[in-house]
Order: sequence, then C-alpha cells, then structure tokens
Amino acid sequence: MDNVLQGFMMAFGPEQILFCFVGVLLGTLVGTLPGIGAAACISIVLPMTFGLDGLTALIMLSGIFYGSQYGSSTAAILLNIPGTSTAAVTCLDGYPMAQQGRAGTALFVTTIASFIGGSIAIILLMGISPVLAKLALQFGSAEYFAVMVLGLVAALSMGAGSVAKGAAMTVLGLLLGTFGMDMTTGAMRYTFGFPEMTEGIGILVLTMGLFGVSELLENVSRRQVAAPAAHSYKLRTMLPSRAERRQMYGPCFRGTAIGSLIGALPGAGPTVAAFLAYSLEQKVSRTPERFGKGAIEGITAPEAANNAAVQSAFIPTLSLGIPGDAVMAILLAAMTLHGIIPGSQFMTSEPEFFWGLIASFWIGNLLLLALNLPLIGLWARITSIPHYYLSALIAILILLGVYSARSSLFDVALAILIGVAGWVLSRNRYPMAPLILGFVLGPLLEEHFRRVMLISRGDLTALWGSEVALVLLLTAVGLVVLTVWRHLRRDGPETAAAP
Amino acid sequence: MPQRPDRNALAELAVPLALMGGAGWAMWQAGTYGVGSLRMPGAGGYPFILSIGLFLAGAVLAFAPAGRLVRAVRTRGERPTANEAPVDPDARLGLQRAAALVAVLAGWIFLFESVGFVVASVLCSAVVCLIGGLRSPVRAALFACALTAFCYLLFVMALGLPL
Repeated sequence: MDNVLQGFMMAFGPEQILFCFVGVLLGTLVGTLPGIGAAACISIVLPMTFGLDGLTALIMLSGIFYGSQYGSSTAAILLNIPGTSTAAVTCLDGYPMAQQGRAGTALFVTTIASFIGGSIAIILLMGISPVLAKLALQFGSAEYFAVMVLGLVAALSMGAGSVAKGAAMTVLGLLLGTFGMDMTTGAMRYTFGFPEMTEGIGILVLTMGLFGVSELLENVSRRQVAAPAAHSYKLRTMLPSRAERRQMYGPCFRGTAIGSLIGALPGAGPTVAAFLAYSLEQKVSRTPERFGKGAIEGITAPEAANNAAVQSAFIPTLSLGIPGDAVMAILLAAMTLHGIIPGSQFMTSEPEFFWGLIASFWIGNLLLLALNLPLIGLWARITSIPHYYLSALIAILILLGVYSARSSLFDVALAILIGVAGWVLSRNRYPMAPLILGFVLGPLLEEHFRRVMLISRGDLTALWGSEVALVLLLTAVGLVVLTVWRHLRRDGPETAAAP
Repeated sequence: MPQRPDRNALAELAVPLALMGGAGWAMWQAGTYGVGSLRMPGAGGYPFILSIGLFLAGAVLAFAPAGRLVRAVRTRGERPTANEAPVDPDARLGLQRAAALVAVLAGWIFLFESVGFVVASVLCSAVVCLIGGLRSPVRAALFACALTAFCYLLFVMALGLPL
C-alpha cells in the first residue's frame, strides 16, 4: 500500500503532470491528424526524452499512445478518414452522424465512451498486473521462450490480412534483431563491415524508418486531404438526447469488457477489440439495420473498447516484459533505453515506478477529458491543416531525432533506407507490426532458447519440459492450426498466401 | 473485369523474391559464423534457422503471383511485358514525388555534413513543402525558416542536444 501511495505521489509531481499533459496533447494531435500514427510519434519524440528521468519520459510516451486513441475518432467522424487504424470502425457510423449534422454529438459520445473504457481498464490493470507478475516469478527460460512464441503466433493469427505475409514479417523482424555483436560468443553478425552496426540496428532507427519515413513517403505520394464540413461545436448542441444517452450505457460497458480482455492478450490490440465490439453490438441490437447509418451504439462500443484495450495492453508488457503490439514494443524499447527493465521483477524492484505510471494513466485520462470536450472545435479545425506543412515538420523531426540519439549520420541514412523498404512492403500489404514485435522479442527469444539448450545439454524436449511451457506451446500450435484452417476454408488452398 | 494481371503479379512477385534472395544470403552468412550444435549453439545457428523460415515464407508468397504470371504467358502465348499493363498517371506522379522526397532526405545528410544543420534544414523543409503541394516558394521558405528556428530552440536550447 505504501508503494501505491508513493507511486501516486510521484505521478502527482508538477513535472510529471506537465509531461503527462504534453504527452496526451501530442497524442490527441497525432490521433486527429490522418497520416501520422502513435508509433511514428512516439519514435520521433523518444530522443527528446533522453534528458528526462525514466518515469517522466514513460508517462509522456504512454500519454501519446492512449491520447492518440481519443483523437483518432475526430478525423474518422469529420472526414471519414481514421486518424489511426483503431478508429476505422468509428467511420462506419461516425461519418453518417456528421452528415446528418450530429458531428458534435458523435465527438462528445466518443470522448465520454473513451474515458469510461480507459478508466475501467486501468482498474483491471491495477488488479491483474501484480498477480501476473507474481506468477511470472516462477518462470524459467523455457516458460519465457514459450510465452514469446505464443505472443508472436497470437499477433499473426489475430492480425488482419495474409498470414503468410505476417509470418514473413515476423521472421524478418527476428532476423533483423540478430544484427550486430552476438552477446554470447562476441561474433559480429551482419554488420557489413560498418563499425556503427556493432550494436545492431537501433530500435529508434528501425521505428523511425518503418513508421516515420514510410508514412511520410505515403503521405507525399498521395497528397490528401479533404477539408471537413462546418459544424457547430457548442456544448449545448453536442449533448446527446435522453434517448441517445440511454442507448449508450450498454454498448459502453460491453465495449469496455471486450477491450479490457482483448487488449491484455498478447498480439491482439485495440483494432481487433474495436471491430469485435462493433460486431457484438450489431448482433445484440434489435435494429441492426441502423448500423452504418449513424447508430450511436456503433461509435460508443468501439471507442470504449479501443481505449480499454490500450490500457490493458500494458498488462503483459509491464508484468512479463512481453509487448502485445508494435506500439507496446516501442514503449518497451523506450523503457530499456531509459534503463528500466519491465518483467516479473519490475514490480518488486521498482514498485513506485510501476504505480507512478499507473497513476499517470488516471491523470492522463482526466486531462484528455478536459482537453477533448471543450476543445472539440479546435481539434476539428486541426484536421484541415495543409499536409505539406505537416510533411516538412515530420521530415525534419525524423532527421534530427535519429541524428541526435547517437550523433550519427549513418543512422539517418539507415533510417531512410529502412523507410523506403518499409514503404514498399506496406504498399504490397505486408504488415509492419509483426516485424517490430519480432525485432524486439528476437534477441530475448534467442537468449532463452540458448540458455535452455545449454542447461539441458541440447535436449529439445526441455523447451516443453514444464507444464506451463507445454500448455503455452500447445496453445500456440492450436492457434497456428486454427489460423491455417480458417484461411484455407475462406480462400481455398491456392490463394491462402495471397493478400 | 480486372485489367491484365501481369504488372500486378510482377510487383507482387518482386517482394517475395527479394525476401528469398535476402534469406539465402543471410543463410550463407550464418553458415560462416558457425552454426554449432544443439548442445552448444553457435553464433550462426539461430539466424540460420530464421533464414530458412524467411526463405520458406517467401516461397509461399511467391507461389500465387508466379502462378498468375505463368497462366498469363500460357493464355497469350507470349512473355508479358510491363508496357502492356495500364499505367495510372496519379500513381506515377506519386512515385515521382516519393522518389524526390528520398533524394531530399538523402541530400540533407550531405548538406548537414558540409554546410551544417541550419542551411540543410531550411533547404530540406522548403523543398518538402513544395513536393507536398505548396505552390508558393516564398511561403515555403518562410515556413522552413520558422521550422528550423523552432527545431534549433527545441533540440539545442531546450534539450541540450548537440547538432
């Protein structure tokens, strides 16, 4: 209890509140602006946090992540363009509401649903994470290896699109993670003779390239965006009617339940949660024909779900040190760069850090409520900022951000090269999230695999020697079988590999 | 009725072939690091297994577009050429803009080394604005100067990072 209080006191420091505010403000901004996601923004901002202490930096970076979920619905409702992939489902009913002159109501409802979803998930995070961390204290290398394999397989099976492409990207990420000096033998692997590659590809260089440069290339090649139609954003006009309020309660709590559950699973994430919540509402509705035409339940449930999911996604990351999706992988890397190692020991060795971060989520959600409701008109206007100004801003921040991390122009060149490759892959519908997940988990996977082999003198069965490891690996195998069967049934054998 | 699939199939085939090529090279390199044994895994063992996985994934992905190309050749009795497929002018313009952006980003590296952060950043951001669709060079220059000043204040003055 003392640790909890200490953590909360740390989070309520003036510096922490200030950077929490900056984080959620930036998050709302990037969520609102189509074309730049939370992953790119966190990567760009990461070098700027090197001067901050670990907790403050993490409070700010996490704020960007969950703040972007609040902001992402704005562009979805006003422009029919989702600010992030999680808001794609909000377009379905949010945009028709805007066309009917109910944009203010839609934005108000999504903000309230986001707040409720996020707040309830934080309570779950507070309850489940310590239990899971205590359980993970019993884990050896075989169990960690099994959890990571399950996480990678789950990310593949629940991701949208081609499984084969996801698998290729996962393996590519794992392979890129081996670049640099091998920590066990000291051998140089895939360094191409460059001394700058001794430590391998930096996570910052990879994420800036894959998310920053590649999104920049996509934005410049497409030249968007339509300006939003004029709407009234006075509080009086935004409030939902009594009947609409009554329609919100059920979807809000069902969405929260789905989001909390899905977000905590490795590999799932807020996008899956939002789509599941939407389809559940359609199924339980007595008037499913209203969906897609401006149904208030169609925006309430997904918004509650995706915000609950982003909060509960912290459960596996903080308690096991295993990220569930790409953004969590970047946050995990950010923690490592700040000298914080999340995992089973994290809560016992640095309890005030853990509880301080959790407390900051409460503060962040309250700040988001205060930021979003009165300023909805401002966020709506931001969607009409010309794209060329944003492109220039992002380009310079990427270049300076990568350079300033190690004062290395080699890193900048590498980030550009990775960005071009990432853009080509994205255009061919290869997902980037499994690549990042593989890259972050790769070195850990190798380390635990080697440790098991050394201890067991090369006995492969040691990988599933314990009951926990066996159950986790069997679940992973089951997921693989289920996914392949589902794709073969849907596409037929010949097109199973096609997008 | 879809357009001739030759161009799309070629583009779809290029990525898996590149992945397979890269995996083959990585496999060969891993062999030179020493694969070791299960009892004592070498530095190349783990990357070697991953390279095999990547090669196989690439082969699976190449299967469908390669099949479509073969069918196209058989039905027409001639080798498909890229010129036969319709070219979307917007897509071509988009590619040109993306290529120009890459050149600007690469140019920033050389300018940074030779003339320093300020000139490199002003030039780069102004050109990015123009590539992005801003018509007025004066506005682009003004915005670029303001942006560079902001970055200088943020990185050098506020964060104390050396540029």
